[in-house]
Amino acid sequence: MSGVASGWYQLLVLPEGIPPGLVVAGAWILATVMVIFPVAAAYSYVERKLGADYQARVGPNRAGPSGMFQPIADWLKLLQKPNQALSWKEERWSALQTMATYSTAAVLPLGPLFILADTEMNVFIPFWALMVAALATLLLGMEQSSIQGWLGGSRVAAQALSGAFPATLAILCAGLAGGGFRWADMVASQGAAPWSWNVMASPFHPFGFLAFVGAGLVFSADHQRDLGGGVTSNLYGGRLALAQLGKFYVLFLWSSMATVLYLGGWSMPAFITEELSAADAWIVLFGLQAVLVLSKTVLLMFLIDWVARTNPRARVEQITELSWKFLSPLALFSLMGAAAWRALT
Amino acid sequence: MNFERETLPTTPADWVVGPYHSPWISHFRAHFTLDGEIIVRAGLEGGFLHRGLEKALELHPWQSSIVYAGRVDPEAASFAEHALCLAVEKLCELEVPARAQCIRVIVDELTRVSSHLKYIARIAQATSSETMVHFALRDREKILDLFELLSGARFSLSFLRFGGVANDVTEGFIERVVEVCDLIRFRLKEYNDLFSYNQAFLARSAYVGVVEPGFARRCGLTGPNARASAIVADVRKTSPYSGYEQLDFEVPLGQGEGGAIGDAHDRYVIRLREITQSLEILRQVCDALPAGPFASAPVERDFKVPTGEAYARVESARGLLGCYAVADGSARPTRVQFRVPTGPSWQLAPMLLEGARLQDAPTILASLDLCVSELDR
Amino acid sequence: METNELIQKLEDAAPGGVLEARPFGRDGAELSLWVEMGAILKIAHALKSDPAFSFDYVENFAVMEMEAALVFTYWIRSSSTGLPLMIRGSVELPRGNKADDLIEVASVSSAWPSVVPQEMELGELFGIKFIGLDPRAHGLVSSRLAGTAVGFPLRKGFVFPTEINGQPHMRRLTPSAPAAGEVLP
Repeated sequence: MSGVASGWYQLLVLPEGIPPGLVVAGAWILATVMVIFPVAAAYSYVERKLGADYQARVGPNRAGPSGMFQPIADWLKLLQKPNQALSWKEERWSALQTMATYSTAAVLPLGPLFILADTEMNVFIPFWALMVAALATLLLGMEQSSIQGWLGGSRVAAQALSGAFPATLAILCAGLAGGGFRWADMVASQGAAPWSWNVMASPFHPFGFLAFVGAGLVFSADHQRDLGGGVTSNLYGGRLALAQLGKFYVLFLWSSMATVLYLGGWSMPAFITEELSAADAWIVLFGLQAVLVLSKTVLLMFLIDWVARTNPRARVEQITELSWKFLSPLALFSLMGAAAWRALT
Repeated sequence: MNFERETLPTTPADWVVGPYHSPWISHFRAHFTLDGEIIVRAGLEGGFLHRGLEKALELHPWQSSIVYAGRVDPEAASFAEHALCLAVEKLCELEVPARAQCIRVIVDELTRVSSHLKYIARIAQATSSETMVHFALRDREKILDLFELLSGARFSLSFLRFGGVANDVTEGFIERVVEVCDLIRFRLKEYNDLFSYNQAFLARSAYVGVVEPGFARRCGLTGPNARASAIVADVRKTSPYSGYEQLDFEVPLGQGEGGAIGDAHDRYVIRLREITQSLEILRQVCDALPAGPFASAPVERDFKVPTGEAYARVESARGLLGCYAVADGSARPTRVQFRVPTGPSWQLAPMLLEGARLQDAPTILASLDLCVSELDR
Repeated sequence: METNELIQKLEDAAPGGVLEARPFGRDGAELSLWVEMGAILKIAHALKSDPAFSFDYVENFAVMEMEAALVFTYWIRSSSTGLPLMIRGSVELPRGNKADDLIEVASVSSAWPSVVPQEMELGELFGIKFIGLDPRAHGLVSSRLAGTAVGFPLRKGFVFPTEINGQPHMRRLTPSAPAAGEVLP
C-alpha cells in the first residue's frame, strides 16, 4: 500500500479489509469532483469577469451578486440538456479521449494529499496521457464523417505532436535542477522563495520555463473558429460540456505541472512546515500546500488567458511552426545549458 | 475475426457552408472543395437577402423611395439615400441649400466611420481577436447614439429628403459630433497599439488575399479595396458632390506596410486612415456649418418628378455607389437601379479563396467588406 | 476624345451599329451613344481594344423597361484616361409576359468581365438571356430553385402570384393608391 493510500486510510478511519486499489479509485473520484469541478467553476466565473474587464464590458452580472452564481446557473442549464447518443464507433474514441484526459487526475500535483501515486514517471505520465487523448480526438474527428471533425481532429493531433518535443526537453531541463522526477523530489529541491525556484536554478532555466509554457499553449490552442468548433461541432449538451471542461482541464494540468516543475510547487516557508508537523496537523499542512499550488496554477492560467484574449490567434500551421522552429531549439538550448551549468558548478 | 482494411479518404471533399449556422459566412452560401486545408475550388452563392427593393421602388410614390433606398444597406443607409436624392435633384433641378449639403456631409462621414468600425470588428472576429471586436463596437455605439440624437433611428435613418434633409440638427448635436470625433481619434491610437501592427494579426493578414491592381481594375473594383491595391479612385475627388470640392482631405493609398500591396492588412490599414480623414472632414464641416434652411421645400404627398433620367454617384464606405433614376412624370418612379460597390468584390472573392488555406478564408472574406444586403437588394 | 472620331471608329468596327450620340440627363454632362443591340459585342471589343480610348471596365449596367422596350445602358470607363461614356441600346419587348419569353442579347462579358454579376442578376429579373454568359452561373436564384421562378419580376407586366405554397400572397395586388388626379397606366 503506497504512502498516500495509507494516509487516506488513517484519515478516513477505513476498515483494513478494503483493497487499496478501491481506495485509490475512490480518492481519484473525490479529487476530480471535489477539486477539479469547483476550481473549473470558480475559474470560469473569474475568467469571464476578467475577460470582460479586458474588453471594456461588464461580464456576468445577473445570476447573484456580481453574477457570482453564474457557474451554478450554467451547470443547472447543462443538466437539463438531452444526452447525445453517439454511434458506437464515435463512442469508443470519445471514451478513450475522456479516460486519457481525466486519468491524469491521479498524478495531478496538487500537494501530497492529492497525488495518488508518486513514481519516477510521474512527470511524464500526464504528458503521455495527453498524447493519447490527442490521438483519440483525431480518431473521433475522423469517425464523425464531417469536414469540421476531420480537419479539427487533424489539427489537434498536429498541435499535440509539435508541442510534445519542446515539452519533453523542458521537463528534462527542470529535472536537472530537481534531481528526480517524483513530484515530491521536484518540490523538495525548491524552496518557498522565488529565487530558490527551479526557474532561477540556472541562467538557462527561464528559457526552459518559457519553452514549457509555450508548448502548453501549442498543445491546447483552440483553433477551430472557422470550423465551428472542430470535433466539438457535432457535440451538444452534456458531451459538449465535458469537452469544454476538458479544455479547461488540459490548461489546468499544464499550468499545475509548470508550477511544480519551475515555480516552486507547494514548498512553503520552513517555519510553517516545521510548526505544523511538530503539532501533527497534517491536514492543515496539506491543505495549505494544496491552496498554494492552486493559487500559483490559477495565476499562471490567468496570465495565459490574458494574453490569449487580447491578441489574435495564429493559424494552426503558424503555431506548429513556432513549436518546431522556435520552441524546440529554445528547449534544447536550455537543456544543454542547464546540463553544462550543473556539471561546471 | 474479420477486419476490414479501411483506406483513409484523401480525395478533395466538398463542403457547403451557410447561409446560417456559421459565424463567418453570413447571409450567403459558400461551396468549397477542400484538399486537406487548401481550398481547391470556391463558389459563392448569394440571393438570400433579396427583398425586391428595386421593384418596391416602382410600386410606391417618390415620397417613400428614400426609405427603400435606406434599406439597400441598412447599416450604412445614408449613402444610398444620398445617391437617390442627388439623382432626383438632377431630374427636378432642385437646389439644395448649403446648410443641408453640410448636414448631408456630416451624416455621410459619420456613416463612413461607423461602417469602417464595423469592418474592424468583423476582421478582428475573423482573426479571433475578441478584445478588438468589443473595442470597435463600443466606439461605434457612440456614433449610433449620435444618429439617434439626430433622427431618432440608429440604422436606416431615412433622414435625407429631396432638396435637403428632414430636419435641422438637434441642439447640441454639433458639439457632440466634435466630442465623438476627438474620442475616436484617441481610440485609433489604442487600436494601433493593440491590433493593427500586432505580430499575430500581421501573420494572419499580411500576404493574404492579395488583389493585384490589374485584376482589380478589370473587375471594376472601387473604394477602399481598390485604393488598397494602389488604384487612385474616389468619387469625392473625381466628381465631387454636396460641397466636397471645398473640403480639404486626402485619399490614402495602400503601401504594403505589412507585406504585399493589396493584401488583407492593407485593406484594413486603409480603412483606419480613412477614418482619420473622415474625422478631419467632420471637424472642418462642424467648424463652418452655415446658417440657412435645411431643405429647399417640403416634399408634398403628390410630389412628382418630371420626365427624364439621371445617374448620380456617391462614395460610400465600400466604394462607388451609383443610383440610376428614371421618371415618367407620374407619382411613382419608372425605374430606380443601384450600382453597388460590393459587386466587384463579390466577383473577386472566389478567385482569392482558391488556393488559400481554409483558416484564411474568414480573413479574406472579412477583409473584402462584402455587404450581402446591398448585393442582393 | 472627339465624339466624331469615336463614332467613326465604332462605325468601322460595326457598320450600321451606331445610331446616334445624345447628351444624357437634364444637364447633358455625360455623352451617351445609342447603338444597335445586335452589334453590341463588336462595339464593346472595339471600345476596349482601341488604344486611344481603351474603355476597359463597366462601372454600371442597367436595364429598364419603357414603352414596350427594354433599354440597356452601359456606363463604361477607361482606367487610363478616366473618361466615362454611356452606351445605350433598346430591344423590343414582345406583347404578353409568358415565363418562357426570354429576350436574347449578346453578353459583353468577354470584353468587360466586370459586368458579369449584373448581367446574371438582370437576366433573371428581366428575363434576358445573355448569350456568351456561363449558363450555370446564377445571380439571385439559387441553382436549387432554378426553373421554379414565376415570370420576370422587374417587367412592368409582371403579375404577383396570389398564392405561394398554398399561402395567400400579396393581398393588395395593385400598387399603393395613386395620388389625386393621376391616371394609372
